[in-house]
Amino acid sequence: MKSQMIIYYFQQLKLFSLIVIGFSLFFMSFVTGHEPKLEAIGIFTLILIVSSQVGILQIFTSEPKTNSDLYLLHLPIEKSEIWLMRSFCGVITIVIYYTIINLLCLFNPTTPLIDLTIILLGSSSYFLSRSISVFAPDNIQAIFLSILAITIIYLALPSISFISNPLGLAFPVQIQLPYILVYTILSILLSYYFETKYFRKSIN
Amino acid sequence: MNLEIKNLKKMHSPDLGLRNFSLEARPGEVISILGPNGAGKTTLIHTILDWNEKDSGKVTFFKGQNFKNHRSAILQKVGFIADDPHLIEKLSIREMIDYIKIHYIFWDESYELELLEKFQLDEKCIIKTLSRGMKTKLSMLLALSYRPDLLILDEATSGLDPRARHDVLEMLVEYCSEYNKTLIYATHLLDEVNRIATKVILLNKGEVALEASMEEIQESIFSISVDLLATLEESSYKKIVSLNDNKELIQFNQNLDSIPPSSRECLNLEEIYFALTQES
Repeated sequence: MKSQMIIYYFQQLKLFSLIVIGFSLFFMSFVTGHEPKLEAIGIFTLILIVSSQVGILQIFTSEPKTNSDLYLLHLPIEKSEIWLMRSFCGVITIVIYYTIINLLCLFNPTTPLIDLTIILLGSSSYFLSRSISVFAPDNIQAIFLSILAITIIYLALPSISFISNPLGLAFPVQIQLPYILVYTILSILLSYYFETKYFRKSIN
Repeated sequence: MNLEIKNLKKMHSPDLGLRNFSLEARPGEVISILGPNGAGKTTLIHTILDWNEKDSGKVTFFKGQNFKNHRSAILQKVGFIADDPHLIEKLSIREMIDYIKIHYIFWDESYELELLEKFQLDEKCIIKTLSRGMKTKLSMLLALSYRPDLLILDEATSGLDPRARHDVLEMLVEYCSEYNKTLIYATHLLDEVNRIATKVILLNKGEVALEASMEEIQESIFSISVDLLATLEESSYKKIVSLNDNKELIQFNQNLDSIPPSSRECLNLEEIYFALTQES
């Protein structure tokens, strides 16, 4: 039963979650110095990201609204179990996304710590965007609010501290892993709290 | 008792929502929730199903279970059909059935096949290509095939043509009477209520304006003149609403023989509905 649901969640994973995941992963890739090998690849990647996300956004917003996810309200499954399955699918998708980027060898080699940081920040962005989507009045606002919130959090919180001597494409930064861990745990708790409390809104 | 609600309150704004709603739904009962738009019908159903968080009150199912602690157990025994069916549009009918049935302990495959044949649903059809009526029938199949003890409908037949509506209602009445199940049914359609309900709850502006069995509506609710009412003992009736022409709509508790039949006017459900919702 659960395996069938998990497969379905992968198929149903919200496009906006993918957009947020993509945005946060690429953002962090650049910020942490995990930059493209060549400037041309960097520009090409950037154009690809922007155009694909605009394309996804257009498809997403032009699709007629359906009640496809509302069937979840009927199923005899605990809310926490549904949250757990969706979260599992989301995090696995982040890891797959990041692995594909690395396998394509478009970026410079990185350290395990930076890999871990990128995945943690991608995951926390994903959970944060899910929390925001519970309250956002429509999909477009949910996407823009999520990206705005993630950008502010990355730049304003002490998870990343900028250091002087900027060189190359990437910003020189120092990552504070403990802060990032706390930030990830908080975003997970926030998502769990809002999605179980406002269950109908969270799946609509 | 399949459902017990005590003093349920859910307000969306100071003027919109549901106040002090109580209900006891027993096996075999068909309860119609009537009311104009904005009366609180959908708020009530969504709050019963825990889609809305209630402001106050208590909702319990099947000997004291509540959604906070027993969501999974309750939904094994509660079926819900919305006015706009909740289906996965890209799946075929067979795929949808197979996907849903794995979640239910008591899924009855022979009943599922019986309903497929009865509703003339083609298993290979993709759901998004189905008409509204066929989608409602599929929702009904999904909600009935695990033999729920309590079935809740939110204006589920409002978009159907008369033939489809008739078939669906026949099916529901048959299911409830044959298996002694409870049906709670929010609707605008008074003819449906007359046909299938055993009990009527009329909501107006978030409050219960009338709660009575169909027998009580036919036998103990009358309009009588204000002058005659003044001669009666107050304990023998309950005033429902003031009508035009110096008359009152009342529900008698006892001693009906003391009122001459010529002095009391029996109202049908439609007249009672309009009398109680006249301001809205």
